[in-house]
Amino acid sequence: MRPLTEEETKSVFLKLSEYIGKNVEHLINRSDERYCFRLIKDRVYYISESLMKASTCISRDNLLHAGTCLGKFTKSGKFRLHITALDYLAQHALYKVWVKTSAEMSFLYGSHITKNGLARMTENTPQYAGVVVYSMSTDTPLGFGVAAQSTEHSQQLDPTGNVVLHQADVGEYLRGLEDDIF
Amino acid sequence: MVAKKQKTKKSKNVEEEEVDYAAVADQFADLSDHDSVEEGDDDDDDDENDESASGDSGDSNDENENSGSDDDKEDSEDHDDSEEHDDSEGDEEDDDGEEDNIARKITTNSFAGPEPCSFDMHNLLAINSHQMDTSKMYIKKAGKYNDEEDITIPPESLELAVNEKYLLEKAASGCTQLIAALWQLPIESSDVGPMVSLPIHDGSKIPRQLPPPPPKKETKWEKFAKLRGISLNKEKRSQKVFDEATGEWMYRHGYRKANDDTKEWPIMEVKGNDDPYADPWEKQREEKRSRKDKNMESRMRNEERAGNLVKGTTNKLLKNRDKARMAGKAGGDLDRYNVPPSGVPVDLKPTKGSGDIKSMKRGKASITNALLATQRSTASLGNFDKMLEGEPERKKNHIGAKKRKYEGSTDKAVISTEAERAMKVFKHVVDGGGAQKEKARLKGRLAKGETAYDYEFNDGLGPSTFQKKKGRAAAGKMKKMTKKRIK
Repeated sequence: MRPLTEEETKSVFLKLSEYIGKNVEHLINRSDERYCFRLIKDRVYYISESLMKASTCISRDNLLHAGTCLGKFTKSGKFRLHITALDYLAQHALYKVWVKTSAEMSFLYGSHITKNGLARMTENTPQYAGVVVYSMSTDTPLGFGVAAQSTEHSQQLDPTGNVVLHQADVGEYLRGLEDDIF
Repeated sequence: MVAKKQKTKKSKNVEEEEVDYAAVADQFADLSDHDSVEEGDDDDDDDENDESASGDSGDSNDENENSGSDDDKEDSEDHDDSEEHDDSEGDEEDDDGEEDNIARKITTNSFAGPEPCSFDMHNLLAINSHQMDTSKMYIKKAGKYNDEEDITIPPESLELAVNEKYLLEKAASGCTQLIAALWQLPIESSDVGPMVSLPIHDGSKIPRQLPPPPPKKETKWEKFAKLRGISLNKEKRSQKVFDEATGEWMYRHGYRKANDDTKEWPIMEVKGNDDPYADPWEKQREEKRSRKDKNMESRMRNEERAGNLVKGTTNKLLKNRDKARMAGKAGGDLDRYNVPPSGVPVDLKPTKGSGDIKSMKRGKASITNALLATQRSTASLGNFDKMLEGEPERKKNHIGAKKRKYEGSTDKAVISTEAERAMKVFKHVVDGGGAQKEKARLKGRLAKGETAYDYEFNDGLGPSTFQKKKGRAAAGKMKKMTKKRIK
């Protein structure tokens, strides 16, 4: 477990800001307790300070996870967000997308959201902006993705066109898509 | 220090003279007006001062002329020491070679007193070689041994004190004589007053410390010349020769010698029998080289014969020299013939078993590394460079290259400053355009700088000509195989 370097912090914030923009500040400076970012074997964790101090008692080999895993650094140095970060993304999301109940399942299986399945979308979403996907019926976050088109353009799309490109969904917990995600 | 009972010419009942310093000063005042000192002038005064030593003044001149050559060299400061030395030769009349006294031409002067000194004016040395009167040197106090007349080496137990006044008088006398002798040197007048040049050569002769060098052994030629009666050029030739070009006298041999023809002239004549197609400069160089070699060889052999060099080194050298020269030539060829051609990468090094360098392959890793380096090898670190077709995105510098300071997870310093640092980084991210800008930079979309090099140049590498796949694979359509297409 070690704190992040400047470069690493920068890439993490860059990624996060795609989804939550300036609200990253809320992650850094919290009112209730101080939380910090720590690196455990290339994975970035968001842990409270007390938990972090407690976890230092466990030896490095035995420590698997601590706190919330936001994502991991790939071998080439890029940062990839995991579904486990959804909680915080959903709290501070800038651009939201609501998916119809009918198209919910397909999204949870890992496919992109077409215009048919799109129920609602926040206005002025720029193209390729990070977007959090909510369910229409229960208003729970289902996952996150990237807006394929900006809001205006997606209105002009034909019904089979991609609106949101899939990045991560809660179905992955069951599917276990990536071997090393957990 | 050996003290001998010497019968001096002086009487034993010598009373101590007190030199009249005032009179001396007056005499000096007189001297300053004259160019040279006339000895005769002051004799009258001297006779008045001298009570007992009148008989000696006549002899003293001769004495000091000859005694000077036998004296040891002493520091001019240590007049006391010079007086304590009992020079037995001081009173003998030795007629040593006159040439030794060149530096001591200064004769004793009117200030000589009872003990005239000899001088070494180069070192400003006045040597008083007269016998010390030990009876006068020590003050007798009442005690055991003090009845003895002659006290030779006073033991520590004897209560004797050195008669400082006596010694002081000796020193004063020597000093006075020395200064008077100074005035006897040729005086020039300068703007600071009368000036005197001290003699160039050292007045005292010191014996050799080390043995003289052994005589040089004859070289082979010298031996032969001697035998045959041939005169060596050494005696005939002068060291310097008049050089026509510069119009001055330069050395006959060696560096920057006179009339040097061995330079390389731009134009060289073809004389008589020479082959017109031969390279005259190369020929000149070869000749010089052979002359040098020959000279070195003969010098070494002479040294061997003389015994300065170990016998057999010349032969060894000659044997190795040719070998070394051939090896050198071969080494040079190595560089010429086995060097990778220009444009071949540096990390492709020919090793023993690698075969011909022209047929060596570079490999993917090497190429990607080279590409990474090339992408950022511009003044803007690749930020404002046009992106080519098919070029992968521009990564930033190797992140792992910088050495990080160890920061423990629970360090106080870390925890306290963490939030601040994170905020700083975050501000940097937000103000710097965020993720969009980063992506644009990687893709090369920021490469729109307004530099002098920004003009539309069609190098024929547009998207239309770009081929992702090469060779046989390129025969088909240029489409990226995605997961969808596989299905």
